[in-house]
Amino acid sequence: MITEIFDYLRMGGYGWFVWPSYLIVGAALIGIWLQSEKSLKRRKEKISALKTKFKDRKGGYIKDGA
Amino acid sequence: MFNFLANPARFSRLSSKMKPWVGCLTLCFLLSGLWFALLSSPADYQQGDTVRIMYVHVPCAWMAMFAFLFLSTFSIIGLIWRHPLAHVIAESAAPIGACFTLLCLITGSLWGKPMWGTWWAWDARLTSVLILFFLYLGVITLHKAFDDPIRCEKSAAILAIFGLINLPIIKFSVDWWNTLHQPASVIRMSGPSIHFSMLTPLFLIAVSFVCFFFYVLLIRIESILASKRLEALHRQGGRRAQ
Repeated sequence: MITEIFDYLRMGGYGWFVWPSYLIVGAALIGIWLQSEKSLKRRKEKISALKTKFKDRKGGYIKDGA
Repeated sequence: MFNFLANPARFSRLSSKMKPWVGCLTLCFLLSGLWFALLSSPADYQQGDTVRIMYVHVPCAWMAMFAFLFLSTFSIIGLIWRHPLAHVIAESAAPIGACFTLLCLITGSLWGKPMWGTWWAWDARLTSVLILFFLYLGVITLHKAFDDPIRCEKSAAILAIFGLINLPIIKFSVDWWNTLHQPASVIRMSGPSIHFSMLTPLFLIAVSFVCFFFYVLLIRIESILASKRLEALHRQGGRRAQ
């Protein structure tokens, strides 16, 4: 069983070329997906923080006016 | 419809509805493609197991070209009809396309070493794909190059349209010149020369990459629209403070 797994991983002696190809593609695609999600999340957080800030400021004006 | 989507809140709502479906499709196609590519498909009679690199290398190459055609199309729409969302779509597609182009070059190199005995050759196909990668870098850089966003969008769009010339050069480079790279074996007039058992994983992974492209594209469009909203809020805040 273990010999079969090692034989499969060796890929007929080309494992050092086949596996890195799949790993690099997987890592790069996961990387660009995570980076995009992170950037969107950061911007959404900034927007909600700014909106809260403006709302507070507006509330302050109303209080002052009252 | 296109104008309707230029509103960030509307786009965000639509994108949130679409993303889970596109994500599920990506995973389904990818997992089935990987099963066929790594477990079910046979080794090549000449290349042995190195042929399995083809199942990621070729879809990456197709995606590199598809993404550039996609971003150039939206650049044309942006330049002619001046639709605000068109440039945002083009800007969002560029880094994903650049990523696929780089992956195509790296996996090609990993396939070239055992088959050709070299990591790189200044062959017409390889060189034209490298030029495509530089074009992507140029478009990405131009989108951030100037303070005026309209100038950025216009200059990036012009480069993207100019870069379209490179796509037929990539496709036909193996026919026009004597290259180390093999000639077309899937997309050709006389039909594919690859056996069905190898075509199946190739198409499954290619479809999963297309779904992945649109999945990440939706996220990036939403992110750019959010950054524009952020700038607008900053300006609004500045005016209120004055």
